[in-house]
Amino acid sequence: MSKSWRVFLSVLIVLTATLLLSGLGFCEEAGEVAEKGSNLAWWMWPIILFVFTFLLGILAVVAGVGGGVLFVPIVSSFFPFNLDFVRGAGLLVALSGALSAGPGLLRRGLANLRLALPMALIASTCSIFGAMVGLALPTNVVQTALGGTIIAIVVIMATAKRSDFPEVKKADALSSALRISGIYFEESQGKEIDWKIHRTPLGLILFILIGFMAGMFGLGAGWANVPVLNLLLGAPLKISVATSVFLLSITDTAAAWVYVNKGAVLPLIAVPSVAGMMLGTRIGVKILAKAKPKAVKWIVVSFLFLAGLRALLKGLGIWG
Amino acid sequence: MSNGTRPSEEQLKYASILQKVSLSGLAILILGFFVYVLGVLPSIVPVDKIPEYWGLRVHEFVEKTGMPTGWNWVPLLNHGDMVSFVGIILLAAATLVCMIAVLPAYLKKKDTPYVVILLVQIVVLLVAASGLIAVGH
Repeated sequence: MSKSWRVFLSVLIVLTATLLLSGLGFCEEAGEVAEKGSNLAWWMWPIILFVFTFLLGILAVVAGVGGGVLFVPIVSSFFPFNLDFVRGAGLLVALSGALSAGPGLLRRGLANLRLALPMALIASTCSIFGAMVGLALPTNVVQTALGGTIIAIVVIMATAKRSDFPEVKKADALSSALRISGIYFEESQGKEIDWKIHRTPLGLILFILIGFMAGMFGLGAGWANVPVLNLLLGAPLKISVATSVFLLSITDTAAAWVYVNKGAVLPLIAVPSVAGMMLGTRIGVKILAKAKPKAVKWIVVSFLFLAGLRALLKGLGIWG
Repeated sequence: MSNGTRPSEEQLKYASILQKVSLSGLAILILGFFVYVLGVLPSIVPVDKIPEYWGLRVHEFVEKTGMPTGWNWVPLLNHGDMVSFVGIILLAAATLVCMIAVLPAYLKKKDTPYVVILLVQIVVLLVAASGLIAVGH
C-alpha cells in the first residue's frame, strides 16, 4: 500500500469517525428538531447528507460491506429524520446501487437470471409485507427490531465463512426442474467453471425472511443473500455476490413502491443520499483496486455495531 | 466469451433495458431535484419547510403538509417536488419494464416455469405499484 493511499484512507476514516461522533451530538436534538424545526439552513442538510453518504459509499466498498445495510442504521441514529423517511431513502439507495450494477453483472454472466428469478419472486412478495408492517408498527418497535437485526448482521459478518467454489455433488429436484445451473469464466484460474445448486426449497424458505426484513427495515439484503446463495445453495462466490446484487434490484423495487405510495420517500433526503452513495461507491471501487485493508472492514463493522446498539437503545427508550 | 459462458439472449435483453431505464431514472432524479431545490417551479411543500416536518411519522407528515400519496402526484406534475418523483418512479418501474420485455422470449421458448414465475412477479409488482395495498394509518 502506497504512503499517499494510506494517508488518504486515514483521513477518510478520521473524517467519517468525526462526522459520526459529532452526529451523536446533534442526534440528541432530533426530537427537538422534529417539533421546532432545525437551526441549520435547509440547504445545509442535503450537503451534509451528500458528503456523509459519499464517505459511507467509499467505506462500504473498501470494507466489502453493502452500502444499503450501512445507510439505515447509521443515518437513523445520527440524523434528525424520522425512521420512516430514512427507510424510504435507504431502499432507494440500495435500489439505485443494484440497478446501476445489475446490467454489467448480467452481461458478464456473473449474475444469473434463472437463479435470481425464483428467489426474487419470494423475496419481493415478502418485502411488500415487510414494508407494510414496518410502516404500520410504532417507531420504537421498529427501531428496537432494527437494532437487534443490525447486531445480528454484525455477528453474521464477523463469523460467516465464504466458499469460492462450494461442492455440490448433485443438484436437487427443484433446481433441476428449473434448470438453474451455469458456466462462467473464472479469471483467477483461467478456466470455465460449471456450477449447479442444491437445497433450493430451503433457500426459498429463507428468502421469505430476507425479503420481509429488507422491506421492513429498508436495508439492502446482500448480507443475507450471499451466505444463502453461496453456503446453503452452493453457488460459487462470484455468482452469489453478483446474483445477490441483482436480486436486490427486484426485492427492493417491490418494497420501494410501498414507501413511495405512502409518501415515505422525501426527495430532499433520498436524492443527495443516492447521489453521494453512488459517487462514493465508484471512488471506493478505484481505491479497492489498489488495496483492501482488513482493518477498514473491522472499523466499518464496529460503526455498524455502534449504530445497531444505538438503534436498539433508542427503541427501548434508554438512549436518545 | 465462449458459447457456454455467454449469457442467454433474454438475460442480455434484460440487462440492456435495465441499463437504459435506470440511467434515465437517475438522470431525471438529479434533474428533478435541482428543479425542486432551485425553486424553478412552485412546490406543494416549500423546500425550506421540509426540515420542520421530516421528524414526523409519514402519516403525520402527509396530514400536515397535504403531500399527495399513491398516484395522486400525477395531476400535480407542475410542482417542483412532484418533478423529483418522476425519477423515483422510473427507478422503481425499471424492473417491471424489464420483466414485461423479456416475457415473450420465455413464451417463445415454451419455458413454462419461468413464464409463470415472471407473470406472478409482474402481478406482484403491479399490485405494489398500484398503491392498492396499504395498512396502518
